[in-house]
Amino acid sequence: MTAFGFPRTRRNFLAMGALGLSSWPLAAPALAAGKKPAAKSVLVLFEQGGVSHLDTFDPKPDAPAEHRSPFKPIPTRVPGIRFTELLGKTAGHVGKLTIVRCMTQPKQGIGNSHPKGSQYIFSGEAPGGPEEMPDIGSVVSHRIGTHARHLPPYVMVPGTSEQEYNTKIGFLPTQHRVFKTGGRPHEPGWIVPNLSLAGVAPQRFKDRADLLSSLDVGIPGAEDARDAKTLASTRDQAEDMLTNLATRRAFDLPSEPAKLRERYGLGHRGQCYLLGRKLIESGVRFVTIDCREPASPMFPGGGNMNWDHHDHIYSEKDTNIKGGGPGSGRWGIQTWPMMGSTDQAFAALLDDMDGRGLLAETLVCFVTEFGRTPRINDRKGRDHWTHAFSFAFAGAGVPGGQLVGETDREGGYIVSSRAYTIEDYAASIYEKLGIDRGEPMRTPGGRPIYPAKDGHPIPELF
Amino acid sequence: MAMLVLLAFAFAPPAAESPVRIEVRPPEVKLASRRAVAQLVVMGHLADGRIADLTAEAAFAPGSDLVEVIDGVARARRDGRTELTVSVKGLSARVPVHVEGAGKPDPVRFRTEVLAALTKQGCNGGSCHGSPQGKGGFSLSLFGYDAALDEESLVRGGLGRRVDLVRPGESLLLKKPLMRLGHVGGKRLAPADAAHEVLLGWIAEGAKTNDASAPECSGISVFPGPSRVLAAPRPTQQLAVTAVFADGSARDVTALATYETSHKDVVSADARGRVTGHRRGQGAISVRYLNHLKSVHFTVVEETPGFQWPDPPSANMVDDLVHGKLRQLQVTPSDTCDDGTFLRRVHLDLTGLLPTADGARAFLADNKPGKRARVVDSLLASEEFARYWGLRSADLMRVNAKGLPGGRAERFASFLVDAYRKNMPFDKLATSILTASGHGSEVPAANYFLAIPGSADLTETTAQLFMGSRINCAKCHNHPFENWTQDDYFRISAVFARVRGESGEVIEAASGEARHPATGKVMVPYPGTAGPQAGGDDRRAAFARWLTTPGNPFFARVEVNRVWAALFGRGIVDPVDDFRSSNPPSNPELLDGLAAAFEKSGYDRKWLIRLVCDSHAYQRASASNARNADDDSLFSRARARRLSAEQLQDAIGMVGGALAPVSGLAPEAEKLEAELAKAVEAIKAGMPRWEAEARKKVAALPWWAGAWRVCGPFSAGKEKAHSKVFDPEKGVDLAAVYKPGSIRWENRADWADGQALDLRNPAGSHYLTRVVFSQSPSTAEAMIDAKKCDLKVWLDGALVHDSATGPKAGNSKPVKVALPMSAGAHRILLKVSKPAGPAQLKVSLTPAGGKPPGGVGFSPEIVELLSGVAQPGQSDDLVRARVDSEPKVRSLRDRLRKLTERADYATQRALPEQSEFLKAFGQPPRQSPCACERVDEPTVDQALQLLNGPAVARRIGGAAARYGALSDAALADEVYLAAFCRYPKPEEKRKVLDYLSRQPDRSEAIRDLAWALVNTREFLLQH
Repeated sequence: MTAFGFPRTRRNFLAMGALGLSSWPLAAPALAAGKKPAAKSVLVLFEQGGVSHLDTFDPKPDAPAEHRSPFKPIPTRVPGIRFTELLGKTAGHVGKLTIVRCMTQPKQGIGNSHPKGSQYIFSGEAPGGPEEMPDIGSVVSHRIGTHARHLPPYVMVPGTSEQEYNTKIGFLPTQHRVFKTGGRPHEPGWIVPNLSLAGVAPQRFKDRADLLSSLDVGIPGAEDARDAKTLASTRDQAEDMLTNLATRRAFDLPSEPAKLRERYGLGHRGQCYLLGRKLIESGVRFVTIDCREPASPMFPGGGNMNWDHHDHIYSEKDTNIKGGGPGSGRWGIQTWPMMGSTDQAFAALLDDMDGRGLLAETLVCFVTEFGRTPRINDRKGRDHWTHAFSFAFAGAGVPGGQLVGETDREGGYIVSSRAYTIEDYAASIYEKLGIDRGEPMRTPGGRPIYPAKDGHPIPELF
Repeated sequence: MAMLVLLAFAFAPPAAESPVRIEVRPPEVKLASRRAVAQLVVMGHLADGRIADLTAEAAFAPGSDLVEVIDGVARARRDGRTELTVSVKGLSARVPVHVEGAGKPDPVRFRTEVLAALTKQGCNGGSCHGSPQGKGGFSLSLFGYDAALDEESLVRGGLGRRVDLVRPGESLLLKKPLMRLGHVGGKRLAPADAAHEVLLGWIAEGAKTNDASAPECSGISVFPGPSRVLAAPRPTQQLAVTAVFADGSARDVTALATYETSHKDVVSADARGRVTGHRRGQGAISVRYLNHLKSVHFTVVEETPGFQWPDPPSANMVDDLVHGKLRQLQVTPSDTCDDGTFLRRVHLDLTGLLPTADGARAFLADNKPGKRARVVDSLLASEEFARYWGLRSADLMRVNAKGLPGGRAERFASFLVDAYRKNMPFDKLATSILTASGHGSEVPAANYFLAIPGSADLTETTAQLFMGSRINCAKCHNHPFENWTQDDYFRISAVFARVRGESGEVIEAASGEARHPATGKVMVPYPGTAGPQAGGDDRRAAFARWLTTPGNPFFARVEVNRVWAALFGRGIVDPVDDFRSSNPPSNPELLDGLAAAFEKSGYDRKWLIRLVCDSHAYQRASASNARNADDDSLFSRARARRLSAEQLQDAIGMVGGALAPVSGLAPEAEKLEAELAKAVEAIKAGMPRWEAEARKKVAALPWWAGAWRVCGPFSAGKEKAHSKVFDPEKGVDLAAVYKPGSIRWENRADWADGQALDLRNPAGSHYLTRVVFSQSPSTAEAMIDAKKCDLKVWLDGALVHDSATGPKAGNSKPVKVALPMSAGAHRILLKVSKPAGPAQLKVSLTPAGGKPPGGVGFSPEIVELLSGVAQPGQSDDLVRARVDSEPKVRSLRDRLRKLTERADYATQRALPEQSEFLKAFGQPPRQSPCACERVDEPTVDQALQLLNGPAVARRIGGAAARYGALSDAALADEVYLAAFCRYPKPEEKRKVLDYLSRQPDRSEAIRDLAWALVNTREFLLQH
């Protein structure tokens, strides 16, 4: 493309994204010249609400006693790297992980709420700029498409919790919008709406489809009309998705061995993580897990069980306090529905993906929108903390057993010479996938938008 | 000379291609400095009046060695005067030459030459060093916008190796693009390039950047322009570009300007400004130098063997103008479409709806001449037309309930529908919108300003809607593809600088200015001129007058183009709101002709639509022929395009039996109205006896609560402003309003205890109040479930609960608030604010430890009126409240409302629902004025919806009832007429009958058939 010669119509614009079809785009060779991308796919484990870094990846045994985490640091497989005891199972897989303890939100306040913070993670851009930015997964779909045409290129599991309005398509064509499975994948009989035949038996669907193809004469003389061709191809693809066994299998959790399902944990989180692996294995380009244990009688007092531990973070059960508080409705961080299930699912996922060779070309990112205050507040909780928090990465050439960055004695501020932002996280994903960030996307108005323009790939991940 | 000409004629085959006269540009060559150049252009005038570019064939002979001419470019060598003889094809012309200053230094300028050279070679393009990260550690500003940054990067960056002042030729700035050193960007420069001379000269002179005070470039001119027809055998044109500077000096910059084409398969230009036409068609070459841009429109014609203009009939000026272009470019138009196709097309275009099967049958059988024009006339007169076109207007005006709460979205939407219904002249409509003041619920047009949140947005929206110009880029920098400058942007802003929109009201303030962000200068409102403003003149009125005066370059063209695009699926300028010289109309004569006629008609939109629909151009078939298959922009055939989201939803409903034809709506409404009147009369007749009994019942109650009143929402920021005028937290007066005509207490007698209350805009603060009456002292308990919200509760003005200090509603538990009351009336006030996510509010009131007093069966409002607590003397109110609460009345009214609002028809509501189905098919979210918000592109997601979605399943659910009573053969006819406006072909009929007979369950089989037909391309496309 020439300096000014960008497409001048919406249709051209769409065509570029989808290689002439508005179907889910086939993989395109739109990669940075000369380099083989390290990652084919990306699995993001978004633990929403602000996971306390102090109680997980960044233990602070020397913090003042009254603010210290009660959970002791434990050694991991790699000398010198310590987690808290809440990550006992994950500690066994540290050889696959790079832990980044110097994540920060550079502009205070922008992402310091859950809706904005979640949008920040989804899009890799500080919300509120002149253009609404699409999710990273949508950009990836737009830029490099997918190899598995029977599946959406960007899937979120289940993606229907509190932050469902914070996924964005921005200025990109609609076919790059996130596909959300919805529902409770751990429950028996769960199916994905829209991808499974609804209320029509397969044989009847076949009869209908046969009738359709025998009656669909097209527009004689106008077969080459663009929309006519696109309609035919998108219908073929949709029919394929509805009837293709591979599509069904990608979501078919009961087909997994019971032993394996148990290893992930039989609750919601474990099964969502397992579904993440299945989708990656089935060829989905970009998968985000955004799950939390649903309220259930097993966890009385638990409502919205994300990581927003403003109250009673170390409660052995619910975090509800007398008179109410903003952190009610969770369970204490050490409990099963919180870090218990997370540690188990994350460890099982790393092990399982490694065993299947999936880590070779899948970038796995364990992320959260911010950390939590080094000080314990008067409701025995920890509030939002955007100055420093921890991410973990694995796969696609990410070095194992590596620690990046350092925070101060209380875990409040970064003291290492390097600090990384959510924009850097996004840039790292694009770089791993071989997406050229110097090549702009275009809004319908023609404005050039560069993916993760304010970010730089985190060098230690390469 | 005359002899020569004759001889030339004799030898030049074919004779018609030989010039009779040549002309040289410039007529006089002035070279005013050592480095000055002049691009010469030789134009030959042919015998038939056409012109041809002969520059490449001409010989240039200078009278002395003052100048040298190479490839048509004259260069100075020493001062003096001479003549240049230009000869070609036996003709010659003499051009005076004047060189001065050849001996004086002429240092290379950084801002006007070096940056232009970098742009010319593509160095600072968005994909190279102009990207935000730069490339290879070398970063330049995009297209040289930021001279300071570029200076830093070029002269001091890269460890000083980019420019080598001692050995200029060793500078990385040259070695890299010359590929004398490895360059990821490849070879970008050749020693012969003008840019090489500029860059090398600049470095050799010391890489000076101190030219900030040198005269700025104030504009460029391009020869020839503004348009040119290129024809074989010489489909070429050398351009000459001259830059004019602030001090009046001029410089030939042909070699430093960049050339971009809008259609590279039709016409292209090389780096030296030589344009070549490749195939018949049209395209614009945009010439850019620094931040100045001019476009030249080229039409490339070629003789196609065997082409014969078929001379199709012309119905009106539309055909004359469309045919003119088709004939020039030798494109044969398609045949006229058949009757069924026309009927379906014109119904969808004008009303959004399919014709009924009966309508199709009658039209196909009609043999009287002029039947197509009659359909156009009757559709233009229909209610459906006004509603559907109103919907399209409302899309662009951002009419949505979130931006325009309190019923104002509905008001604005029906205003836009009404403008079509009454055929309000478009200039009147635009003026009434752009100059509107007042409250949005009383002056519907004022909602235009209220729907648009900021002044920048207002500037951009107005320009895009009424001027077809996307000027948003010019907010931060001069527009990269058009001559919209930052000054223009803030001058349009100045038009609206005094408009204030608050609390649903638009006022024109006495003061307020727009300032240029860089200079802080107060801007003169567009399009006025500098100098004192006419005293007291409303800036908006002046702008609207300028806009709507016939001859305005934008107004009529933009609207004509929008109407055209709605009817053809593509604008004459496309996209419709992107008018700029680098995006030329595909048929300028058509656009200009229609715009002039539209002005002359008094901006009569129905007249314009009728004119277009009556043309043969509109009634063409979509099938192509050998000579128009590749035409996509000249309107030689109909464009098959997917139905819009709303059209599709209604079409499926009509074929599937879920939607009744609109013709039945009015009789049905009349019937319901009569029934309703009867029911109301019956209530009124029985009122006195009913009232006496009811009062007795209420008096016996120990305890009761009146209806809810609600006001709000208020955004967090506005709260303070409201509480200055009226502070509901200090006392509640139901008769009081915030401002006259502003937000009122709204009666919500329909909100029952324990039910989820639907706050209109859950994101803002609301106040809720109701009266509670206790016969004797007691304590009531309010269970308030206000998840994710802040909550305050007052009883008779005293704060009894505050979630900031007291308990909050939990995820499963509501808050319990005790309300101790003496005998008599008490007022509860709730404030709900700052919800994190959609607010959920439920309130139930019970006596402490007891159950609510039930059993009277009256609405809270009636109870309140009966006891006379709220306001005395309202027996009319009581009748009204009783009528309102009667279930039968309510259900009748509901049905009537649905009928009159046409709630079931997506194409018939200017404020349609935003359903999953509609959104999937590209229904615009109405958040911007861009026509591109509506996406008509087919996607996989849509295909899944069509094949497997609940909306389609629901809409074809009635197919068996709709067609089941017909015989199989009649059924096949009926369903084909409904879906396609045609009878099935024998082959198709056989397939349908076969399927119906094979399937065991006929109802299911009919649904299958409906499902299959609505999934065919013939159905999904308008063609």
